[in-house]
Amino acid sequence: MYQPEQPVFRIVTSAGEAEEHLRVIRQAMERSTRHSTFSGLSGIAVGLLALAGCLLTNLILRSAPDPLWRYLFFGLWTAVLGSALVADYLLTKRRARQVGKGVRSPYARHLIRAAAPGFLAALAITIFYVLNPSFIGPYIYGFWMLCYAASVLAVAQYSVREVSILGWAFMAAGMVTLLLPPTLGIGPRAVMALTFGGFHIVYGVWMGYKYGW
Amino acid sequence: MATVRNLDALDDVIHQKVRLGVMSCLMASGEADFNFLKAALGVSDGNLSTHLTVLEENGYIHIRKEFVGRKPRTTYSPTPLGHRAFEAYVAALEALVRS
Repeated sequence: MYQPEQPVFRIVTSAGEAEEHLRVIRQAMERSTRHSTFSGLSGIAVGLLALAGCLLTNLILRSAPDPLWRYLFFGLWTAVLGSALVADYLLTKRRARQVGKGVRSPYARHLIRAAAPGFLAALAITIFYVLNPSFIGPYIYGFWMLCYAASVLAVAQYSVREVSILGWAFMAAGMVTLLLPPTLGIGPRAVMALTFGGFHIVYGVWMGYKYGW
Repeated sequence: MATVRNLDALDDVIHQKVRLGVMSCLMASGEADFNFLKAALGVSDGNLSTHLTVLEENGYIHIRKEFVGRKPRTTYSPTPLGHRAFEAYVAALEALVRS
């Protein structure tokens, strides 16, 4: 192997110099990870999938008998989640390619680890709901939104401000969904369709214009 | 304060700092192409190219060349040796700061 006369990295001898180098490393890492692979189309795709999921749920709950609707409900939302993840992966990969980066990175693994607890909590609540629908009822949508908000806010720790705003918007929408008076005439699923679907679409359009599609 | 954007304006440490910047970007991103590194570090083509060559000759980075459509594209990623060297370097810096 080639042996250089000079070291590849500078040999640092003082704490002040070491701090300066650590700052350079941190800045370079932040610069290379922040917002460059966000895809506006991905946000829009997730929003549209959520809207489709809400519409199809309406059909299932109206027409399928118990317990068939439970399986259909679980299958439908598993498919929505799977489709959203695949769409997000493919569109982020496409965007990463445009800016000259790979999609699989230590940064991406950080984001997945940050998002996982919220998704796992939502999975547990969903299974509980399918087994005991009367305990939670239509408020499952509010719980989902709160879990998703927790995931988005965890991801926002490593991301741009817009992601944090989206997370807090979901948190507020989740609270509204849970605390909405039943007499208001708009159900939790409709609120989820409007907010979860709508916020994602607005976020996607904004991110597309600001950072790229 | 010296920032990554102003690497060209730094002192004699510049060469090593560019290499450090390259490795930091690659460690965070997994892989990146020439244009991305150039934009992220704010250095010139020739400068970046020189430092990438040093890193490659030392086995710290892997280079992949391909065509995207009709355009050539060169992508860089850290090798296992580069990973170890970078982590050891950061650990040494942290130890120095702690001491």
